[in-house]
Amino acid sequence: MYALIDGNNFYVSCERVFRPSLNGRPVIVLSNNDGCAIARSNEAKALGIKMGAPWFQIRGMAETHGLVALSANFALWGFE
Amino acid sequence: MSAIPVPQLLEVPSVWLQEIEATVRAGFPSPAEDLGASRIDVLQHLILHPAATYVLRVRGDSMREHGIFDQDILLVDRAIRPKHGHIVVANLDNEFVVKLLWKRNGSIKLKAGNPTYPDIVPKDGQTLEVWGVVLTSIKKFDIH
Repeated sequence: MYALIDGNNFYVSCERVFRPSLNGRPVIVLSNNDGCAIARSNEAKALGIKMGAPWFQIRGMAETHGLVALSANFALWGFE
Repeated sequence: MSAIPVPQLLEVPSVWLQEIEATVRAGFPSPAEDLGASRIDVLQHLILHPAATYVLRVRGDSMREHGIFDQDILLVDRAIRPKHGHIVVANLDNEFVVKLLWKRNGSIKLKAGNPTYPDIVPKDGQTLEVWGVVLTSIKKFDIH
């Protein structure tokens, strides 16, 4: 018997544990070199941001919609 | 008051200090004296669950009476079940605060260690999230 545990919007949820001020806001986490969105909060999904959306195409949303984009921090989330 | 979290310690380094056995001896002191002394690993005593321990720095003086001051460093353990009387880090309005947890008779509130700060009582429907329990506080003195 195996149990599989999956976390919603995982990288964003990790960042929110240490920065609760991100709760309730549109937040995305970007891939290496800030390439594209690899995690989106529910609020960011509601803005229509698709998985893998290139950052250069949506960076204007930081101004217009208060989108918070965070660089990947794999070491913090437990990967080495 | 609030604190800004810093990513966790992934490994607890060993900081060895020599515990000195102070005894008065008669006769010639043995050169092997130090061999019997036990070592204290400082950090081992200050951390219970290394994988669940995080470092936060204190801002403000709302917890003065508990010996926690501005700029102190707190080791916060998220694997300890919070109980009445614990000093905890809580998520209040999406901000971290450090306060004393008061949990009696089904009611819960956060108390400061400074008479000028009011008790924090969650209103109806508001949730109080305890983020972790403060196990250790580290104070560095200014030597400049």
